[in-house]
Amino acid sequence: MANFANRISSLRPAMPEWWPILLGMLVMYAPTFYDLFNGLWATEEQMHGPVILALSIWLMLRIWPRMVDNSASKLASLIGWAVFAIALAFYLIGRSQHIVLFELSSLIWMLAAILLIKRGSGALKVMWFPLFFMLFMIPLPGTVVIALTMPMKMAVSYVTEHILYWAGYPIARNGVILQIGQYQLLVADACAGLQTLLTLESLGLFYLNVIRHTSVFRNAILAILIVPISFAANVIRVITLTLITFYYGDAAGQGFLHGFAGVVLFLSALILILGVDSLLQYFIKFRAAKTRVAA
Amino acid sequence: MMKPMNKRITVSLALGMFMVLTGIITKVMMQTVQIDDSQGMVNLENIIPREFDGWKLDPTMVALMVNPDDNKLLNKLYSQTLSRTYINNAGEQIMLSIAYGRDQSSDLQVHRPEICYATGGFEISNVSKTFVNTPIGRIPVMQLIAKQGNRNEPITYWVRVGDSLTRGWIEQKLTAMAYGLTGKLTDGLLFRISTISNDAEDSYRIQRGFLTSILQAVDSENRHLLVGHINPQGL
Repeated sequence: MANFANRISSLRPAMPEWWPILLGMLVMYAPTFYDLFNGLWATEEQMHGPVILALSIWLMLRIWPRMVDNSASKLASLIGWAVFAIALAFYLIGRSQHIVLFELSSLIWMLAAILLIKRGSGALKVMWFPLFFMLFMIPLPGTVVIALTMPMKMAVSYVTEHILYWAGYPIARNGVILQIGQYQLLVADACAGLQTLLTLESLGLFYLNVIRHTSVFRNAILAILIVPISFAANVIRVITLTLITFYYGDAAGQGFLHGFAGVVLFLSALILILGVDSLLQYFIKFRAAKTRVAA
Repeated sequence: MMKPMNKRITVSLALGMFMVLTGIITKVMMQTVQIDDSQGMVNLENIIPREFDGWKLDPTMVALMVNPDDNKLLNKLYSQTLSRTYINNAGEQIMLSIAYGRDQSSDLQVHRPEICYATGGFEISNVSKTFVNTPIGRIPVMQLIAKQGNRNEPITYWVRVGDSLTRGWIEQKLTAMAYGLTGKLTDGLLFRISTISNDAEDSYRIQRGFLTSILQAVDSENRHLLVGHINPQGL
């Protein structure tokens, strides 16, 4: 904590230079975030938004001193002003026309522009990850969500049907509608797991960034494997829900146990990720040992 | 030492100034947006005729709503909806669904059937843009097929935003934005007809005939509500 306080006080002499920018940010983005917290981010599917925002801010504060050390502190690149203009335009159109995609992405352009203008391109190189990470808090446009959701739903239903059929349950599938015993279940959009995938991917990347594991191989493999892992976790959730409905009835499947299935989802994802990570570590050690022997 | 510091602060002040200015302009733009009430209230029940040109309401059918669970969402999105099933002398049936929304800004936009049906568990295929020629003009429409199990449902629809007819997300969005930038909110309407049949070509033929008939049967002063301003030269 003392460390953090030191960092804050080290920022103090820079204040006169930064307060107009802070004021500008406040005028532009305080209403944006006020609206988000009272609207989109209060909904279930966008609940990760504020978490991503908080984590990005934390990441930025964490590497701020490194950014200051690594940047030229030279002024006013032309590119910086161009990016600044893009940010303003995105904000203006996005906010006045209620296009959250534009309004929120303007924040990323804006931060990039401020870094470029005030500290040069070196600053952007240090800060790239928090800015990239912020992409995860921008809600995908509806059309993209639909284009991705439908095939994912089909795949989840397909795999669920086959696993349960193989296990001997009376299950049949019609598109994204599962029929088990006397019950009919519609695999809803939420079960497609697009949001789960994005949330897990973002948290996974965050974890990898903070841990700063030296093996690029392990980081890349783990980041890629999160995709099938989140799919598997989703299938486990849908299977859990289907079985709950089969044994305890419709009311149980839609009531309290629906929330329970969400917990199952995250637990299974966590266990899978940790398992894969340990396997990868084992593999890397094994390979290192082998090369040592060979040498 | 003093001079570079001053320059740094000037740059910051410039940045801050532009940002505050943009914030204010945006605020002003958002305030000028007001509901265009000039069109007055509409009553779809009365505007759409119950009987015309060989078509009449099918008394045996209650029009099937997609996703009845979503009534709450429907009421939030649309100020008025109408669902009917028509039947003609040849016994051909058409399901008609109209949804009218007063505000076409992003959160309250008319939802396209590609989305509604997909959410309801239908598989969507053969989405294509085309035109239907009618005596009142050339109507741009979207056609698609929704399938769930044995139910195969060819659909023809368009979305009116303000005075224009749109098909698909980009057209709908751009039109709504063009209106938004002129500083007024605009209304929108989804006009959808469908048949349950495995023969898509035949369905589309029936639907074209139905469209031609119903558009002529509607009073000319109410027609703009359905199709906006159609240019008759487009024939």
